[in-house]
Amino acid sequence: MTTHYLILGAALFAIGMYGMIARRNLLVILMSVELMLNAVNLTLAAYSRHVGNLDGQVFFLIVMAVAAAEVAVGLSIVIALFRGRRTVDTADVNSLQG
Amino acid sequence: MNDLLWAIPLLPLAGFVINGLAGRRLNQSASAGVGCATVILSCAVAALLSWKVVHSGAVQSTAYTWMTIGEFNVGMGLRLDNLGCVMILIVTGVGSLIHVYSIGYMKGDEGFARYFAYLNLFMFAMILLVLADNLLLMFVGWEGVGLCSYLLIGFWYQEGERADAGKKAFIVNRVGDFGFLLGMFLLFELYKDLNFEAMSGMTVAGDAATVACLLLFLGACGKSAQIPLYVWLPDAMAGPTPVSALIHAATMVTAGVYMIARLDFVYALSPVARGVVAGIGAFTALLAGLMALPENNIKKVLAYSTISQLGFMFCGVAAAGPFAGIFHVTTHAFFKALLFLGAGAVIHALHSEEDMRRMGGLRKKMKVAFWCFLIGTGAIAGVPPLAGFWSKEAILGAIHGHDGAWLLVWGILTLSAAVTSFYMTRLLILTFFGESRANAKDLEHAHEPPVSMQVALWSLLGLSVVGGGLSWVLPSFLGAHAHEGEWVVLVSSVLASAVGILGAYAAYYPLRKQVHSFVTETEAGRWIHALVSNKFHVDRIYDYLFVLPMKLTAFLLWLIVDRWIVDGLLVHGWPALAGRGAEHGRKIQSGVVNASLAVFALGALMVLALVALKT
Repeated sequence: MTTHYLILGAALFAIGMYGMIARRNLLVILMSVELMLNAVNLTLAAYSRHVGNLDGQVFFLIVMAVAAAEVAVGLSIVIALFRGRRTVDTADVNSLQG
Repeated sequence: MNDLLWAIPLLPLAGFVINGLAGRRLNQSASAGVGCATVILSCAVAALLSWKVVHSGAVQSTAYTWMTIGEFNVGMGLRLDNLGCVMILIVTGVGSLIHVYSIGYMKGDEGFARYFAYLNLFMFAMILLVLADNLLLMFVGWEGVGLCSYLLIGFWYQEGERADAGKKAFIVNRVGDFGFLLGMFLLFELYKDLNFEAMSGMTVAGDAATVACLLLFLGACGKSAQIPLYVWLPDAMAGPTPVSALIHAATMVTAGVYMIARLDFVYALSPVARGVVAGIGAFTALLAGLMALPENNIKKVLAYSTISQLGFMFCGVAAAGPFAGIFHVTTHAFFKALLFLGAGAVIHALHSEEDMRRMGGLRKKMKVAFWCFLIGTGAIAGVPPLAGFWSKEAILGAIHGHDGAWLLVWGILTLSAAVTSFYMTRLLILTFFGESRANAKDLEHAHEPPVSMQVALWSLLGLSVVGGGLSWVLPSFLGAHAHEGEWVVLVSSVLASAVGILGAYAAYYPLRKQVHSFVTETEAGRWIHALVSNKFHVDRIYDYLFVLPMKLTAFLLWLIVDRWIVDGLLVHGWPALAGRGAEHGRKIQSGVVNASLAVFALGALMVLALVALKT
């Protein structure tokens, strides 16, 4: 039973990572990050149930809280970027090029 | 009383410090006052102490032990003995006169204070050289006078040629100093002591002494401008004329003669070394005399004449100990300083004109300079009863006392004496007689020298006349036998000077046309004239032998070591390496967000893998 959850978590994580690397829209990248976080959350919950204590679920809640903060910060950066550049495409955001 | 000895060198040193540090803030009369007063005071102290030496023997004062290495001690000690008395009185006496003369000569020069500072420093070093009681301290003075000579030859350093002349003097002297140092090391090895008094009480093996003497003589050749190291002295005339008079005629260049007189006890052990010294001296006397013949620069004639006279002095000290040589040092200091200062008066009056072809007929315009030259020429040519006659006769007499090869030396010197009077008479005729060839404007300004210059001129004039009187006092004072004047020597030397003077007169008056046509029209005449005018090509030979290889080496070192290794590899190499590295390294920083994220993910995976593998 736990195995299925873990496979699902890993699959979700892999999809998230692929999205983060491959997509150029910053909003999609943020969503991919969320996906990865939730994949981890799923894994934590699955292990929590498997082992039989609540540590994993507590972690799950903390990750939710941190993810909320992260989204707030991430979105505000995206908004600030959009105000300055009128774009959220990473291909146009390359002034750090060496 | 003995410690007063230190006042002699320290007074000029104080003058140097004052003029050197505060010279810019002093006005010219203050600078001149400090410069002259210190030297005159020093001369007075020297005279006072000499009086004491005459009456109660040598004066010695050691301030402290300079260095102790094992059993080897060098004291910071001064000693004034009979030989020192003669030399110190020449140095401070003629030095004082030339300082006073300089006030007039250098008036208005930008570097007035600097000039007096250098001159004072020179006096300090020269006095140290004369008074030192050991060879090492003497060497300090020896190097000091070399430095001051360099500074003063290049006094007008803004003109490249003059600065080069200073460098030439310094570098040629380095060659000699190298010999001096090696000689000193060898003497230390032989005697285990460098104190003159202690050394003179010992004897060492003759062969070793010969080597040491020859090495030291190499040093003397550098300082006293003998073959093969004489080439710097004619160029040294680039300095101010009083400097030429003081350093390059009266005092510094005689340091080599003084050193050999001082170390006479070593030279006495080695007849070979004495022979070499006399041989080189005689050869130099003749060759430098010949070089003076076609020279047209008034100061350079005097310079070659100085080289030639120094040759006489070396023959004197080599033949029979200190007396004859040092006697000639003394009279030469008088009349050569007189001649140089007279030349200075002429040059000063004609606005730095030094070429005799643009002089002539100055007899009426410049009476003082004319009389100085007349007496000076008479003295150097050996006209009795002027000073030079006595000292030259003493040298020739001392040499004639020997036999064998010494007679050859005597012959060469007598011939040189004739050459001397020839070129000096020529100088006199070209400068003061005949029609004026100066440009009219300079001639109009030609004037008698100012008072300060006249004081020095008249004093030296007097000394050049009566200086010969020393021949009654000096021999016993310097511990030599007063040799009886042999009539052969007497007649031949008077004859030589007469031949020279009359020859020059004949060549310029009755036989002028014949001489002129010989020199310009016949093959032999042209060849001889070119050879002598080019100073026997010695400078050119030295150029090819030493200067060019040195310059080539320097060029290669510059190209390979400096340009390629230091500049190319080290200075520009490192930044180039960093630049190239950065050129490639910067490409990692693409600025593409996704690429950064990919690398980040990869890194995270690797950390994860590491953790997984560990457990």
